[in-house]
Amino acid sequence: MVTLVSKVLPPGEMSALLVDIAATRDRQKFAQLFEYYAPRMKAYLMRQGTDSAGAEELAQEAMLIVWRKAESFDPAKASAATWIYTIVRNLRIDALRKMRRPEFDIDDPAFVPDPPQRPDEAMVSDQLERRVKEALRALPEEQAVVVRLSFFDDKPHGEIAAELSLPLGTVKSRLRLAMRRLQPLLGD
Amino acid sequence: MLPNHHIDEDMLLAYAAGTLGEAASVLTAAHLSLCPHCRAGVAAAEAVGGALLEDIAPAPVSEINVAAFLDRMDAAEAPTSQKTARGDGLLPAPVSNYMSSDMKSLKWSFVQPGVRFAELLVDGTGARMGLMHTQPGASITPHGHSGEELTLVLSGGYSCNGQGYRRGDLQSADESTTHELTTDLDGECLSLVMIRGRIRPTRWIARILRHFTDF
Repeated sequence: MVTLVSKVLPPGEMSALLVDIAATRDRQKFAQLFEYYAPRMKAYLMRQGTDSAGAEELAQEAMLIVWRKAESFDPAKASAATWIYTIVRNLRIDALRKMRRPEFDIDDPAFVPDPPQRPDEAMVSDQLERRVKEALRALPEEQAVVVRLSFFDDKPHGEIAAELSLPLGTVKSRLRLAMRRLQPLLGD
Repeated sequence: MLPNHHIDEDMLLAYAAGTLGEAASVLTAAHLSLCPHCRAGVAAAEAVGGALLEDIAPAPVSEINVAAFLDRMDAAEAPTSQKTARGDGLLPAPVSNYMSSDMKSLKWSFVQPGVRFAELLVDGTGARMGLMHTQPGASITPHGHSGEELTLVLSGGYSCNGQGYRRGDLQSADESTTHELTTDLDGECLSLVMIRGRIRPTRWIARILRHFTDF
């Protein structure tokens, strides 16, 4: 067993490391990223109901995708944590739910690009992540609970509602309220 | 022109969390292709996922030699990434990825005069997704639902309860909704539809039609 790197690093540090890995293909640096994220991915996958061995295997596979796709990481669009989250999420959908993950494609001729941003509206993704974290902590507990369950339990909102003995409408409205507190952070 | 009718926040969150069924995910991804506003919402929800991953209590993993692991993996053939086929600009890629032929060669079934439907997917949750084509002025008779119904306009437009829906607009209906859709007079309308449960037509003729079309 490796010693756990449980401390949370200052935002930006992991994004800078990932950009560095993409540029240098340095395996020792990747080992640092691996040590930090593989145990977190494993914990996430176990929360979704995967057993320890299966979660570890998937976490390794996800880290391999991170290594192979590192060049496509754009720190202006997402922080390292967010980008890595989407990789492990997609792998989980593919491996455990056995379904395709439909996503938009910016090279699609039908794609409608973002309107140009005013410079004062642009927010660095790590700054966004920090503010999202603050906003998450500030959410009323009843909203925070349903947000956490939505991400960690691989269940539709209807089942989450049943587990909390709440009407589905209540769960949905709490999620909407939470999202409305988070969305203005994007300057939209 | 940007869409005016958007995806509900709870659905954007389920899409970002990866808990939405496949049919609803296709509809969401198709709307996102056309809607910068909702893409910003998904980006915020994914940042929540990133923050939660960062804060989770790490689970111990077996010690591996990462450099040797990468050597082994680099020796193996890297999978070629599947690139989506270039569309024609009408159907967003998340939709055309589910079509093996062009629109004309799809298996269209008659729903009612001026209305046809081509099924593209029945997902693991039992939701059906497909393209609906309506002629100018054609109405979809008033109907209720035993489950969720989502409609995303891809070309042309229709009106419903005094609201207009054009390309990129998304309309959702559920058990509590009964509605009638009327296609704009100036052209045909193509939309992507997801239906969970059964449609309940409110007119006797539609009830009879349902026996024949299973729509």
